Parts: sequence; C-alpha cells; structure tokens
Amino acid sequence: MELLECKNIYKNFDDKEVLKDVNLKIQKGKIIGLLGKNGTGKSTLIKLINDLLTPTSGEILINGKKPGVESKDIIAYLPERTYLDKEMKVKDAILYFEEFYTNFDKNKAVKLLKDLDLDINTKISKMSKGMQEKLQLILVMSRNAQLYILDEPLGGVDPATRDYILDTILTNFCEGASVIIFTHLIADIERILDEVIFIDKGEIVLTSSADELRNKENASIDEIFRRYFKC
Amino acid sequence: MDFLFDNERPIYIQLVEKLRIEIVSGKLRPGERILSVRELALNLKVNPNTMQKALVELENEGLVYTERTNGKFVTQNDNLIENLKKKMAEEKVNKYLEDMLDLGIDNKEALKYLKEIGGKF
Amino acid sequence: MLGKLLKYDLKWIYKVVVIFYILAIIFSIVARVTGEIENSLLFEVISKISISCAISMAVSSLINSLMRSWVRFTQNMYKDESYLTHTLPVKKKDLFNSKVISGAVCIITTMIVILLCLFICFYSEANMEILKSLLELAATTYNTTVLNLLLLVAMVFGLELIYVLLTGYLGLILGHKSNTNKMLKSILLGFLIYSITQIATVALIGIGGLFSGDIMNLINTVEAVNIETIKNVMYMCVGVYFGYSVLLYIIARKQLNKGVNVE
Repeated sequence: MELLECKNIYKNFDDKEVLKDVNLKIQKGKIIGLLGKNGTGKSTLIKLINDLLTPTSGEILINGKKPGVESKDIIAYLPERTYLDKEMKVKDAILYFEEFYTNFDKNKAVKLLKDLDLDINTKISKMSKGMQEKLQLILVMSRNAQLYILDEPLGGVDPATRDYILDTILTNFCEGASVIIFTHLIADIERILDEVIFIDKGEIVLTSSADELRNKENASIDEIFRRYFKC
Repeated sequence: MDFLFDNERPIYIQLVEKLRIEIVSGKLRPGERILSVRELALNLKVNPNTMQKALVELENEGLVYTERTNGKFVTQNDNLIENLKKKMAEEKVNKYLEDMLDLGIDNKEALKYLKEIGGKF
Repeated sequence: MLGKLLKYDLKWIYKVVVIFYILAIIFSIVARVTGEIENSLLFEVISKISISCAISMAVSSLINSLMRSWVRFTQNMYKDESYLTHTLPVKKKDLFNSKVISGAVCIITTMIVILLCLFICFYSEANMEILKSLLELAATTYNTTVLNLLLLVAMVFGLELIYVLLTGYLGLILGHKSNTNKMLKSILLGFLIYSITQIATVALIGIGGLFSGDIMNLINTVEAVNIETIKNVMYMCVGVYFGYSVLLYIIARKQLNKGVNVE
C-alpha cells in the first residue's frame, strides 16, 4: 500500500481549474521534491492532502484511508505561514503539541530549541519571523511521523539558515518515513532528494529519480527545472 | 565534514568516489567498521537512501562487506585495495598527461615538470 | 480531545472577557459603597457615574462574549491558525463542539456576572421586598413559583444569546465556503439567517395567536398586557430559540463536515 496516493485529482476555484488530473504515488522511506513555480497548484495540492481543502473530484488516500483523524496523526505538516497562536510562549506551544500529538517527542524539541539558544519562556509574538519559522520547523520535525510535508521550508531565508533547516530536516525525520518538500528553490535541496516531481499549470509533468534524471540530462535538477520552465 | 557536491552528477556516484578515496588512502582501514548508513548520511548531509545506494555499489565492488548483525566493514583484501589504488592513480596520471598535452606539453616534458615541481615538496 | 480543545478556546475567550467582569464588579462595588454615604453630593455623583460604568462594562462583557467567540472561531478555523487546527488529529465534530460549548459557557457566566453586579448595585431589603412581592403576585396568580419565573426569564435570554452565537458561527461557516470576500459574505449571511429566523419567530407567535386569544391581544393591542400571556410567549420563545439552536447546530456541523476551504 502506498503511503500517499492521489487519484485523478481535480480542483476548481469557481471557474478556475487549479489542478487537473493529478496522480501521485508516494512510497515509504523517500525524500521527494515536488517542484513547481509559484501559483502552479503546489499549495492547493498540499492543502488537499492536509484536509484544508476538498477536491472537486478524485480521491486522496493516506495509508489507504481518506484524510481524517488517522491521517493527521501520521502526517507532520509545515505550512508556509506561521500557524501558532502568537500570544503563546514557546513552552506553551510545546505543551500544545504534546497534548494533541501522541507521537510528539518533547525532549527532542527542547533539545533542538536549546541548540538554537531559544528561551522557552519567550513569547512567540516577540520572536523574529525567522525564529518563528525555526520554532515551527522544530515542532514539526520533533514528531515521529510517517510523512512530513514541508511547504517552501527555505522560502525567504538566508543561506546560513538554509543549511540549518536542511540539517534539521535530514537529522530529524523518522527512519522509514517519507518527506515531501514543496519548493521552487531547488539548488539548495536537490542533493537530498530521492525523487523529483515537476508540477506545472496544475498538472504533474515529470516524475523521476533524481540521480537518473541528472544522469540522463547531464545537468543539475535546478538546471533541468530552469530549462523546463524557461525562467 | 562538509563535502561539496556537484549537483550535475548523480550524488551516489560522488559518494562512491569519496568513499573509495577514503579506503584507498587508509583513512578507513581494512577491516574497520563503517558508520551506519544513517550516521554516514547525516555526516555528509545527504539522503540516507542515496548513501545506501553508494554502499551497495561499494559492496558490489567488494570494497565493503556486511556482517549480518554487526554492520558494514571495509574489506580486508589488501590486494583489492592495492589494485584499486593503482587504477585510481593511473587515472590521475593519465588525466595529468592529457591536460599537459592540451597545453602542448608532451609526456617527456610533462615528466620534467613533475620532477621539478614535485621535487620541491 | 474535546476537553483539551475547550481548555484553549475558553482560555482565549476569557482572557479579555474576565477583564470586563472585574471592571463591572469593581464599578458595582464602588457605586454601592459611595451610594451608601449619605449627604454628600460628591459621592452621589461618583455613585451615579459608577453605576453607568458598571452597566456599560456589563454590556461590554456580554458583547465581548459573543464577539470573542466569533473572532476565535474565525481565527482558529479559517485564518493562519487554521493550518494547525485542521491538521490536529481531532474530529471536526469536536472542533465545532468546543467552539459552541466555550461560547455558551461564556454567555452563561456573563449572565451570572451581570446578575451579580445588579445585586451589588441595588440589593437592599426594601428593594428585595418590592421585587419579591411583585414576583409573588405574578407567581401566585398564575400557579407558578418565583424561582420558576426567574428561571424562565433567564432561559429566554440565555437561549436567545446562544442562538445568536450559532447564527454567527453558521454565517462564518457558509461565508468561508466561498472563494472571495469571505468575511463580508459571512457577516451578510449571519444577518440574513438572523433576520429570517426573527421573522419566523414573529410568524410563529402569530400562529400561536390563532390558538390563543391572549397572544392575539398582545399583538393587536398596546395595552392590557397580562403576565399570563407574557409567560406563554416566553414559553414559546424558549421552545423556538431552543429549536433554532438545534437546527443551526445541525446545519453548521453538516456544513463543516463537508470540509473547509482555508485561504
């Protein structure tokens, strides 16, 4: 059984067709890059998988089941925006995750925050945007999930932070779990990808193993992506 | 342990090359236990699956073997390592000579350069 | 899971409402204490001002109970925080129930606080006697106890507020199904639901009037309002508001179960 399967997904917003016949199969133990320019349906697809939207037609299955309580328990999702109650302190956010997610590893989160020199008594609204993003990443990666869905984890951060984020992802994702990284910033992440999926204008246009693609095209994924989308 | 990858070539091939050098140079000694796939991957900041693929390749070459419960070890077959070293050295030399030829320097002269400059070290 | 959700919802709503509670009670006490001091114009003025402050705080706490419940609902279910709310391993049913219960609990505590303030401001044996005799008159004449009568009034107000709360929730749920102008549509839909149900209430009382001459009198004439009739109307209101609340709750839950449409 696939960890995640999308079958003939269509999604319309009023008259606008945002996703067209998207078919996807994600297996266990892979790091997948879902690559596409902004506004090509990437975030819509993420929201569908996370039950934040419902497809116009088609079916999404996580471990063979539709999105619901069970799927949410095994998916750790990092959205692009900050989704924590900013009135909370860091320790409140940790407690919140601990209360709602059975697979949340509190000690791991505390340790990672310590590495960042972040005081857990800090109010989230008092933290910089970058710090808030790191906190969110730590909370998400401290879950022993089966599928990590990361939406633009490198968006708008400086190179040092990029390294930190990539390291955190790589060192903390659970063994045997899969990671899907949705992004348009490919150069920095491509070395950790097993598979790449290109999405364009709401359709999946290419699915391949990263190394095979490099071999075939004799170029980096970033280069291939640029060529493909001529940007 | 930062290792710069060339994104244009398959990562696993680059990993194989790196590990070969470590074995041939003796950084990894014959019979030495290799870190687990995950640890290795984390050290080099690559995907564990890619690391695994590289180790499988090394195993196919006989440079690495697996002991069922204990993990992976560097081969104790000195001949194999020696041969590989030779082969790799040959490749390097050939590359050097070819590059010199590109500069219009023939093999004899290239050797002279080598002696002259190499002698300084 | 419902308990944990409730904890956070209540905490959020009360964080501000409690301030109004405290202010309302403080002003009530000040009003009472200064009111007790005789022959002083200054204290009399302070007392009067304090009473109006206490009343405005009490009204604010009521408005805030509703507003904060709605704001919490919007932020938690449809804004940035919704990305966390809807990805928690929790049933949509529990999410909604928590919002309904937290809103209702806040309304009830607010009503209690308002009663408490009235009590602080105006309690005196003489006033109580007047009230008691008034109520007793009504109660004994119409075969009911004082407590019953008070309870009925409280139930009408409480249920009406809960129904208004649910009107807002349903408006928000329906408005956020749309892809554009979500907030505007939510408010308009909320008003629309409220208007329709209010018109229906009048219509229902009218229908009640067909069966009861007294109720018809209440509608037709301005004078001659007797307590029995008002009691009947109040019974009807309890039934009607309770019915609306249940209906709105069921529709809202069904709509929410179909899935959300976050920005």
